[in-house]
Amino acid sequence: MESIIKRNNVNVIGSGEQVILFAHGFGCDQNAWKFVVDAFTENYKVVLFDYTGSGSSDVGQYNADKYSKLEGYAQDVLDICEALEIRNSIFVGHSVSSMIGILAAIEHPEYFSKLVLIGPSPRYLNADNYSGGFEQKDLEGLFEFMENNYLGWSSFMAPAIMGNAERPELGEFLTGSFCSTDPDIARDFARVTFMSDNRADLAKLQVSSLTLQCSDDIIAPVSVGQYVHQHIPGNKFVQLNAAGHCPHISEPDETIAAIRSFIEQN
Amino acid sequence: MDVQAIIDLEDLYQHAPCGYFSLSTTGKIIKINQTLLNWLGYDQQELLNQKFSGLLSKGGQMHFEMFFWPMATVNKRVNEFSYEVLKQNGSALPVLLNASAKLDDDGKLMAVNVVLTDISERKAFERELLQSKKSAENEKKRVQFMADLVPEIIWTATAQGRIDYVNARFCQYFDCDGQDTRFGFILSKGS
Repeated sequence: MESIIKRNNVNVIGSGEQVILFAHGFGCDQNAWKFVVDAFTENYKVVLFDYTGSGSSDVGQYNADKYSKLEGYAQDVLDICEALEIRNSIFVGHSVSSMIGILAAIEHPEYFSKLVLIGPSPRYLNADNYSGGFEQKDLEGLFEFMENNYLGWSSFMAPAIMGNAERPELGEFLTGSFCSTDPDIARDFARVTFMSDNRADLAKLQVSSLTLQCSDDIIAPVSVGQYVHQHIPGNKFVQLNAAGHCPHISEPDETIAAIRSFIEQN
Repeated sequence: MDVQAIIDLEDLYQHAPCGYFSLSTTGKIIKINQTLLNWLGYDQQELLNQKFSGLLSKGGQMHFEMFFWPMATVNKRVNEFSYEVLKQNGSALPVLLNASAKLDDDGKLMAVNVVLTDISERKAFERELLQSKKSAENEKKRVQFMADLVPEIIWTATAQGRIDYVNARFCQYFDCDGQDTRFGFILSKGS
């Protein structure tokens, strides 16, 4: 158990019984939840973590083979549920974590009671009769932008980041390494995220779920959110006013209210 | 000449030797200086109230949404992002981007101020460096791959006598498994 807690930099905050698991998207880490966490700690037990390879996780545990599929990341979620003996949790996943949560919930439905999918996309690339929003060349453009900005992460920085490995006080955020990921791992994670095709998995989800759709989101456009909504049995759909891809950062109040109204109904 | 006239604040802002603009909480340009307008070839009216990410390629927009905006708003600052901004004529301007968030008294985001520096020339040099780094890394991988196929034991050491590389045959012979454990294993043999 200790090893999983350390591997995924798991933080448990809050005084409630019901567990809410917040899963960050590609790019950054659990600090992304900074503006919404406080709203839930009074009534819930909030679990925050970093995927292996991201944020302040134990990068040494990263295995390129295992994490070359979203299933590898889903295993992180399942490992955390097992380590903390979590059952019937509420899973809130941003971006790629929506699909990761769905994969985890297909594997072990008993671990989850509700899934909140923020800006989900089952496939980013356009295909026959499907508009994901991106062509291959757009992704190459993203990879180039990422590559250009690896300079911000030099190998000299690595020991400094590792130095923060002893766990911070519960609920205390480390901001030094926010969005700073080993370039090789970031490239792998970007590829597995944006090359994934999980359209066929949507129909397999048995757990109750909500799609939170942002307006004006180039990463997960409205048509993609609607596709998710139409293909997951019983999925609820809420259109947010929040613009962009990170409503939990740009419009935390609206996001909190939408999550609350879904998880508080029976 | 009057010193005050030389350091007139409005003039400093408009004609600073860097591009300067401010974004609203929704990422729209709410103020932009003349230097940047000149660089990009736009009039102020064409860019005011537009999203800054509209001046990036689609891949750049993805990066902006997933890295720039979370860092600017959660971390409150962005240091040295290397971006390419599209000019009015369609060509790309390589820039170094620094940003800081402006907060109200309650710590709520009001705006994000961004400074752009033109790095066209530095960029050309950097491309060459990156290219060399890449080919050096590929060469290293290639050599190690080939060394693992050789039936002889191969190892190298630093000038201080610390072993810093062993091939697969070495590990077979000394019964150490996998790349990760090699170094610790060898150290344990040494002590």
